[in-house]
Formats: sequence, structure tokens, C-alpha cells
Amino acid sequence: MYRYCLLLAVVLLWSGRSCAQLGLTISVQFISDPSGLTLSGSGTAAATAAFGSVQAFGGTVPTGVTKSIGASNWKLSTPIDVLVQKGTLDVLSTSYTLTAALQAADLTNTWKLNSVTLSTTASTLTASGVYAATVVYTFSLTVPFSVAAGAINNTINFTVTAN
Amino acid sequence: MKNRTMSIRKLLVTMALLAAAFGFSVQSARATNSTGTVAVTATTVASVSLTFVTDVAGITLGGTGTSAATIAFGSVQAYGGSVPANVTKTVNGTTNWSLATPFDVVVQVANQTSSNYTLTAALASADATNTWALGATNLSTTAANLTSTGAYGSTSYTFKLTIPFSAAAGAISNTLNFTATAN
Repeated sequence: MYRYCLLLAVVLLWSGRSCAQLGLTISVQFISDPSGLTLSGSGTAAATAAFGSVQAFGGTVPTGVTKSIGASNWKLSTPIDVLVQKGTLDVLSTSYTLTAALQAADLTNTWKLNSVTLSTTASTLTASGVYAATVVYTFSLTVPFSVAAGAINNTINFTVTAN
Repeated sequence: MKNRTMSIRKLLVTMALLAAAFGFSVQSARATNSTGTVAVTATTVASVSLTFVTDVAGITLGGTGTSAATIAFGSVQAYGGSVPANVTKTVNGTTNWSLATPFDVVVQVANQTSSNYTLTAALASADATNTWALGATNLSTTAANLTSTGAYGSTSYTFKLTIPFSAAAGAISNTLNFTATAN
């Protein structure tokens, strides 16, 4: 009996550590919005938004991308769908918190999700997210006219936490 | 007695382990989190914008604010009649008469190191009768240089169309093709 109890304790401890690995806990996935840019890796937790070759004046932008020209900068924007689902072990959770941060600092361009400006410090997008409900976030990248042309790359790191 | 003590000790240890494991599991379940990433890539290309805007002292342009504007003088005549607001009519003795109006040329640059620009203009179709000018520069189908050191932003140019008295009345139309190049 003693040995069985010890084994049960070990199993409980082990299961607590490996829930995320087993997919039993909360999960996030990024999906191409019907009105947005087609994401590479749509439906997974590691998507890519590739705008391709773009320019402030003239040229074209991919389908689902809006370009707007300001007095001293220009902006690309597109909606992205975020879907969060809770796992088996999240039965007690009624909502989630979603944060986002840039992987690399960018002192030149402005990265936003809705009205939230992103930096390398995590910003809260919502503290009361609803599970299993697709939420549209508008991503925007603002590029100053004064910046030399070239490649712009970065990664937005999302963290979703069960409340 | 010794066996009973051992049993109680084992029971207490087991209960403690189970409580710890359960507590850990529940805590993990209530504070689970997950991460995801969206990689973003773009390649910006340098570009120049050329648009035409109605000057405050000029004729109202059709398509003002775009790169394809229209100047429509309407029905005009050398003597008498009227001209649109902000159009100046000048009769030059017995030789010709002209219509003149300012309009703004707006040139912007993005994502390129450039301190100024070169602006040229040319007529789309040859006109051997009338004289088309921008400022002091007469236009033909060969591009004429309006400036080689244009400052980015808005610059006013005065367009002038001169019509000989000897030319028959009728429609006059042409297109001015502009090219702005970042220096």
C-alpha cells in the first residue's frame, strides 16, 4: 500500500510538470483572418506574416493588407485571428490573459496590435479573454519615411495564461 | 509497538507526499500558460511620390491630391467672356492671348537618403500652334528640366497656355507628363 501511494505521488508530480508538453493545458493558435494577410503556419502556435516587398508610394501590397500614408511615415496593417483554448487541466479557469512582446527591440519602426504598442516588455492584450472564441487583432507596422529601405524582421512572442 | 510506530510514520509521509503532489498538480492546472509566436517579415523599397494639389491662388484641379490631375479652363475667349476663378487672362497686343494659373506640385520621398529631386515635364502630344509653359519653361514632347534641386514638399508652378489670334477657335487639350527623380 505504501509503495502504491508513493507511486501515485510520483505520477501526480510528473503529470503536473508535463501537462504543457502533453497538450493538456491552455493553447494558443494564430489563424489567417478572412479579411487579412494569409499567414504561413495558420492554425498553429508559430505563424508567419510575410508582407513581401512593399513601398510607401506606388507598388502593391498583399491581399488583406492595408497601406496608409502619413505625413512622415507609412503603415501596413492586417487583421490576425487569435484562438485560445483551455486544456483538460484548466477546468477551473474561466478566462485567460494574453500578452505580447517583440522578440527584438526596434527603435525605428512601430509595431502594434490594435492600439497596443509593442516592445520587448510584454504588454497585456486582454486580461479576460474568452476561451474558444476567435479574437481579431489588427497588427500594424509603421515605417518612417526617413528610414533607409531594407528588410524588416521581428517576432511577436505571445503568452497566454489561464486565469 | 515498533511496527505500529513505523506504520504511522509511513502513513504520515505518504499523506504528506500525496498532499504535496496534489497541491502541486492543482496549482499547475490553475496557472497553466502557453506561448506562441508570429514572425513578421517585410522588405521596404525606396519610393517617390508626385502629386498635384490645387494652389490657394489657382484654378481648382480635378483630381487634386493625386498624381493625375486635370486643369479645365472651360469655354474661354480672347476678348470678353469670363475665365474660371484664379485664372489670369492676358491679351498680348494683336498677336496672342494667354491663360495662366498656379498649381502645386508635391514631391515626397520615402526610405531613401535624398536631399532633393529633379523634376521634368513634357507634353504628351506635340502642339505646333499653341505655347505651353510652366514658369519660364516652354514645353514640348521632349522632357524639359523644371528643377534639378527641388526641395521635397510643395512647390507652386504657374501653368500658362498661349493661343495665337490666328488659330481657329476650338478645343485645346493636351497632357503634361511629369517625372520626379530623387537625387
